[in-house]
Amino acid sequence: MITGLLYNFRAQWFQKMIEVQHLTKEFTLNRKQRKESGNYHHRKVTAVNNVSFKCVPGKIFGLIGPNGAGKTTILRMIATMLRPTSGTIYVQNEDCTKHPEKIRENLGFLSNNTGLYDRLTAEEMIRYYADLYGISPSRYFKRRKELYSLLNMNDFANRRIANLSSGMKQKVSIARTIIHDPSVVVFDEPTTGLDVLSSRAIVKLILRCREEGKTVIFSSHRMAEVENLCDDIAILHKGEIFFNDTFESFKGQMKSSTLEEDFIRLTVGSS
Amino acid sequence: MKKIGIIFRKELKDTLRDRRTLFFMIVFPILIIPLIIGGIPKIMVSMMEKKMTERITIAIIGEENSPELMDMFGMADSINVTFNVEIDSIEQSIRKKDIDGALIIPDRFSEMVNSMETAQITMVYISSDDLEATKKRMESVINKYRESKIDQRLDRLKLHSKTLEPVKINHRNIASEKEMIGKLAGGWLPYMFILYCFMGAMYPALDLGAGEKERGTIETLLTSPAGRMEILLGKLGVISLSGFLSAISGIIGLFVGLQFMTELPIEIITTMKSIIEIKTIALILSLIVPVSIFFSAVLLSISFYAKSFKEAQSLVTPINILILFPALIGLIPGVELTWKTALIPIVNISLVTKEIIAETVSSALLLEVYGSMIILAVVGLFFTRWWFNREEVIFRG
Repeated sequence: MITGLLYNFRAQWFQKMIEVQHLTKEFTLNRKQRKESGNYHHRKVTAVNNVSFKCVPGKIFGLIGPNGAGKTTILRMIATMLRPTSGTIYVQNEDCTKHPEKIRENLGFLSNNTGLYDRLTAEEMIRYYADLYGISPSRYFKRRKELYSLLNMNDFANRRIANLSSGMKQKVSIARTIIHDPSVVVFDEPTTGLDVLSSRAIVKLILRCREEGKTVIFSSHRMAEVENLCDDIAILHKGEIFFNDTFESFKGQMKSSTLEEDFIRLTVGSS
Repeated sequence: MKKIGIIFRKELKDTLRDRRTLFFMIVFPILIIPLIIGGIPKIMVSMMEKKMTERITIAIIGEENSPELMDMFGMADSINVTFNVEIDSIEQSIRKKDIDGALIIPDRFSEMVNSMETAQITMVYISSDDLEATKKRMESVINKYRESKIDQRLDRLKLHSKTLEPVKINHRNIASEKEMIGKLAGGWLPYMFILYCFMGAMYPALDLGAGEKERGTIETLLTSPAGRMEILLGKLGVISLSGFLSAISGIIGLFVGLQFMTELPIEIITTMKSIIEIKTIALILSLIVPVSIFFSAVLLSISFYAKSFKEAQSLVTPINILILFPALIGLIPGVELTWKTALIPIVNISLVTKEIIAETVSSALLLEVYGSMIILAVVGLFFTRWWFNREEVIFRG
């Protein structure tokens, strides 16, 4: 019986994870971009080059790297917005290129851009996404009640988004991301450009997702945030992974006095 | 299908809350058509009336050469006659607005008129002047003088006025009023409907494509379980509906405009009103459906390509001309609906609408127009789907 339970747990655990294998993404350059690159005959640029990693449920996986490292490209491929040039991504045992709609049903995506419609009310915005995720009305009302009290949204739920403060908008965006209770949540530099209070709300959400056993992948270039949140990390620079292990292992291998310096040593030193 | 409906309802709600879109979709067509067909002729008529009755000053050089003509000018309403202008300073005086026009009567004028010769008289005026009122008013007095002289000459020669008219043509135009109006003014109607359809679809298309990209909402939408085709169809549905509603607003505007159009003869107004009958309108609107889908597909493709609302606006401007130019072809007299022109998009809509109004359209050509427009709409739809699936378009950096 114990073996059976362990087998079930292991099977569920593997089902929820994200597995990226030899992922490569090339973009075709337009004429202007080719001129700017200095090599007019270079028609393609490799944004992500042979990247492999795994994100497991109940842990926060941090994708760390400077701007232009390829973080957003990887996250967009996981969220099925972009198609890989080569390599595979499995989200909950589903191939991203074969069943993108199925993957999106169980995935939440949040970036620093709130991505909200100004002319809708907070309630209409959240209901819109709940409908797209095919949530039944009873489940929606239950989930709404939970999220509204968790995020203190009851006071402004019927106000148009254009009239909300940035903190309120961030809350609406969080509610929109997890209204369908996804088992995989992708955060693309979610705190960039936000004030302290809004950042704190996001950090709380990320930690809550971990507590609930969700698979969390999160990108950032802020080392303090990485230190606070991440269990596993991959350091990315110019589309390639330089380090991929637990955060503890990274700290153990540090050659500089601070995380920031070591990050710079790994990334800038490599170029 | 369910997701298309969800997206359609949300986009429609969002669009109807945008005042700018509402203005271009409903208010603008309803206001502008009455203004064009009702207001402008009214303004022109009242301006003409004013110009024809307001007091003007005419300088006459050589007044002693035709006292009879002088008397006529003296008796004309609201015309002041002055003799204090030198022949060399006429142009300068007109330009300085000291006088409105001048009349130069040469020596021996009366003598030549009375001896059955042709006497010359010179009118000086500025033809760019407001509605040429000065010219018309001087001509009117001179014409009265001429007619009286013709009568005198006929009396002297003991001739009847019929002598000067050996042949009189009786016109029998078998074209009905509807045909006449359909062929003459019918070109304007499709032009307006096409214009409004395009304008009505334009703002929602820019907002639902480039606007979404600018606000970052497209990224969120693409991570939802809705497929690209479902997103596209939901958006296209709203944009097409906006274009279609705008064209309907144009028809309402036309109807409202006709209520204020009092300057035209009553028969023409009655005929024009009879054009707005359910059968004609239903036929025209059914043609607008594929047009609005095609416009929506073109506009949404451009909108998805643009990085911002502003860029989308600048990209749409030349397309505007490209699409509306064929609609103008319908206004050119002599361009007829044939099996060849029925295949040319937009031009065919323009031409077939004229035929529908004139009630001279052939079923085969009408079907050909429908066929070509439906094919065009489907091609536009598939192109937009292909375009929307291109990463370099949606994530154009």
